[in-house]
Amino acid sequence: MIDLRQLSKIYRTDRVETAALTNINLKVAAGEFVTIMGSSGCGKSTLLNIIGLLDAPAAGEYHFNGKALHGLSEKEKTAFRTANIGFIFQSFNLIDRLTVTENIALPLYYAGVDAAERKERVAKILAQLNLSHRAAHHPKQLSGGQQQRVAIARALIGKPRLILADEPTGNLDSANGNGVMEMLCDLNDAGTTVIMVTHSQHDAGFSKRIIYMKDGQIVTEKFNRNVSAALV
Amino acid sequence: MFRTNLKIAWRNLVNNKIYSTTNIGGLAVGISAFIMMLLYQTHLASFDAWDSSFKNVYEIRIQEHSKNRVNEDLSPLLIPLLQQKCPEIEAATRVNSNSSGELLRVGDIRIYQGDIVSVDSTFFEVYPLQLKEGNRNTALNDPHSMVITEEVAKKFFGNQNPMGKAIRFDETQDYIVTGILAPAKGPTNIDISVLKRIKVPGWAGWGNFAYNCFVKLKPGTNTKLFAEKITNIYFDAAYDILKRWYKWPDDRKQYMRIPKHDALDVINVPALSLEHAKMQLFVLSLLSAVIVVVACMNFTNQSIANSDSRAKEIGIRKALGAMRGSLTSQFLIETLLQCTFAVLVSFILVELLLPAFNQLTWSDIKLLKYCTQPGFVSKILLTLAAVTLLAGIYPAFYLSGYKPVLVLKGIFDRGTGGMLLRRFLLSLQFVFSVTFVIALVIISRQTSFMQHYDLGFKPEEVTYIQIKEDSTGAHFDYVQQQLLQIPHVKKVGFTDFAPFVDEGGNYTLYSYQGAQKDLRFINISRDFFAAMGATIIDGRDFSAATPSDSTQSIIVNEAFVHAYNMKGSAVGQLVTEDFYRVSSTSKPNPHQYRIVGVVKDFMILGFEKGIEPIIFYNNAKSAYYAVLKSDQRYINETMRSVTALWKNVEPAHPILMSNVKNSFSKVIGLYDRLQKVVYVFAVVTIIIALVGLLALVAYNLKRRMKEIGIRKVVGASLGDILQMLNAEFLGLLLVANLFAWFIAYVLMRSFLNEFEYRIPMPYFVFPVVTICSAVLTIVIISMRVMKAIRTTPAEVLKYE
Repeated sequence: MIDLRQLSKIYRTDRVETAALTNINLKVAAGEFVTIMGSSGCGKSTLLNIIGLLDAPAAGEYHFNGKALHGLSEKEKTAFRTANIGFIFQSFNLIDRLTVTENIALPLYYAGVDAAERKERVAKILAQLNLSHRAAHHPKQLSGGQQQRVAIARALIGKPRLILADEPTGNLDSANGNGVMEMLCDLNDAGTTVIMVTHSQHDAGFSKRIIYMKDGQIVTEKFNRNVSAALV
Repeated sequence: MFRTNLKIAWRNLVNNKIYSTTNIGGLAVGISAFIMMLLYQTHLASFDAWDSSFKNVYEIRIQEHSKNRVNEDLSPLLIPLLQQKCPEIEAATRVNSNSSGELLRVGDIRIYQGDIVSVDSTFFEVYPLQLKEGNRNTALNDPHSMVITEEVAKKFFGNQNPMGKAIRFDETQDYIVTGILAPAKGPTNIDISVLKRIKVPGWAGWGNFAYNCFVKLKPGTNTKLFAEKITNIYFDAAYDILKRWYKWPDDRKQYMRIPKHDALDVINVPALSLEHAKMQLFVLSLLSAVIVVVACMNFTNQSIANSDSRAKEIGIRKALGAMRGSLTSQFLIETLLQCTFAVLVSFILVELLLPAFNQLTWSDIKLLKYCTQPGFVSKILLTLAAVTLLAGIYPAFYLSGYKPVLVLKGIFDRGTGGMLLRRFLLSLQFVFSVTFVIALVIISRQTSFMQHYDLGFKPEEVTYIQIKEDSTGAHFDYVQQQLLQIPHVKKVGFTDFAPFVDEGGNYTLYSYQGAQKDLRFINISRDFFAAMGATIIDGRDFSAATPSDSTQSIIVNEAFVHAYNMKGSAVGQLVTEDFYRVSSTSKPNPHQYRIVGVVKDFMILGFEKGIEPIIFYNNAKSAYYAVLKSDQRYINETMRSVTALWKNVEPAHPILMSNVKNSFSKVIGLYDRLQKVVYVFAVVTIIIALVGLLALVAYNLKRRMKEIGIRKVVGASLGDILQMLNAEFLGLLLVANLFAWFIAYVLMRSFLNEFEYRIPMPYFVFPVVTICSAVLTIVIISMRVMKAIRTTPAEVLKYE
């Protein structure tokens, strides 16, 4: 599904150049659940942003189901992202002045889905995630776990083929964190590809494949044979 | 610590040049408006405030409620009567100013001298002006005595001592110089070059309103009771005459029961200038206050929008032990520095704008003069302090309130306080600028309309010569003949009214078929209409062949025919003159006149006044002007010949002539100036509004950066984001436009209503200005937003 070839990213300030990613080669098949781990500043979030088309690589190629994405314009990227990718962030990134319903419906709104269908799809996903009673609330009125569920609902509403999660449990206690991880597993079981960045070995245990990064490069890879064992 | 703070403040100013420039520029414009208002107010308050005795000096005036105006011109009989009946009056004087000038002569030196003020002998008891030479108590005792300024003395006598010497007035009467006026210690309400004794004509009565009346009251006099008292005295004497003019009820008691009847009133002389400019001052104060507050608010918005750049510094300082108080004072010192720069810049702006302002307000304000006055300087310092606090206190508290833990983690978001107020103030700025732009367009259209209006005659062909000697009018035939012999002079007539120059005029009561009206009359000679280029559409002109024309015939204009709704030809109809025309005493009263001609309406009064009904008498003797129609191609040589000829006609008086075209240009010139002032205001308010818009957009962007990032992540395009941010401001703009439409409509309607000759309200201007303002707003916002969010969504989100 995802094929990254010789991908590099360089951050430039006035005089200093910092290589955030160097010659990354990575293939992710459809239906995989991949975790990217590494210390702070190793480039894992940058990699995730590039995969999510939030950032552009300095060099290298990015193919998605055979389609080259590295040369797309900002507009094409936006369209592609809306159609294929859902995001989950550590800090939830909900818009405070919109209600739960409005937050979830936002991707549909920008995708041009009509109001009636938006309403129907949001209601359905709210029910799935046990959030129906919070539909009219604002993010600040929700607990951290609920906020992350809303964020997940927003990520899922467009029925993306790929979910990108950047430390999805970083701001949650362990009970809520586990709930979120189980949801990601369920999604993955249903066929959605998931790529997650985390510091937590525990969370990484939920995934099928773990990639370790250091100084902008992939250093090792590990496959979890028995995922359910990690839950113990 | 203060020095360190100042150093840091200076570095911040220099490092953020664009930010500092817009901040200081915006404030400077606001402060300039305020300083201008302060200067004007200080200037007005300085009139007749330089002597303590002024506090007991009052001017008497009539509150004419029926005409909704205040009239300072009173009957010459009032002061002598009040002096008899009111022991409260310590001294009183009548004042009659002739600013346009009279011919004064000493030997061969003949000068038309302006600012000749006629007063009673008691003038110096009322007005504390001092004499450089002569005795204040006796200088005006003789009816033919005069006091002059040094400047006038120099003109006529050079370095000789003028005391006791004679100056001939108008080639008729010698006045003896009995005093030299010392320059007043400050500005006065009465401009004086020559003071002479007043000469009230014997026929002047209660219906003759031409004299300013000043009284000096005994200290402690209750002015309210005094005003009531003199009103009663006035009506006791004058009611029977006044009621005829004003159509008041026969019974005075009945009239006095009307809740708002006309009444006399007194006003303290030092307050006179302020009182005259009350409305102007109020509007100026309001405008300048709003501009200053708005500029401060813009400053605040900019500061908050830029606060991130400072947040880290604050976090570190706090972590290292800085107290909130010291941080607050640091930021206030930064604001103070910027405000000080703004004040300096505004002094330059004021200096540049003062000439135009002086022209508009007929004043002579010099910035440098006030800069040395402690009172003014302290007001400026106070303004600086107030502006610093107003603009800086909120950002100072806001910035110093950052929590170090959050800031160092990179979390800046601080809620949305005061957003409503910010929006309101920005809307207010939109309202101002849109109103001024609409006003500018409409005033320009009206001015252009007037410039191109067909007056009914060609003003450039018509020249007026002032008639200074009484005998000239009596020799109309001779003067006309002489003038007509000059090549290119086509027609010559006489009149007592000059178009676009004379403002007042003569009125009296006329009846036609029982209906009485108070109408304007003008004395003319035959051929006057031909000289003006006006057409007689019915009947005939006055004729030398019909001697009875001068006693029994009148010509009226079309407006007269319409006013009386006359059916058929007006020629031959009889009109009764019910009231003596003031200067003619020889006729029996009432007197009947027959209309012999009707003249096509032509404009003589400017665009404000419509064409009034006018009655023309054949009375060349009373003429003040000779009117010449000449071929404009040869105007220079013609005027040279006329000047040479006039030396024979009025040998004592140098010729004074003017082209009607010039007078007409002066009439338009006023509106030309108004247009320029409104233009300046429009530009200023647009600049302030744009600075305000930029500041609020920046503030808004800062507040919503995270939201914008999220929206981009979930699929919003640049267009979507622009649309969202623009919509917010466009909403404000449209609401502001509606208010501006309303205000501009009311203002411009009353502006246009001042003119009888006006353009119809150009309604299309309103939406056009709105569309332009919307386009400008969208461009400004989009440019600012695009600059801010062109980065990748990842960078935007990193903000969190």
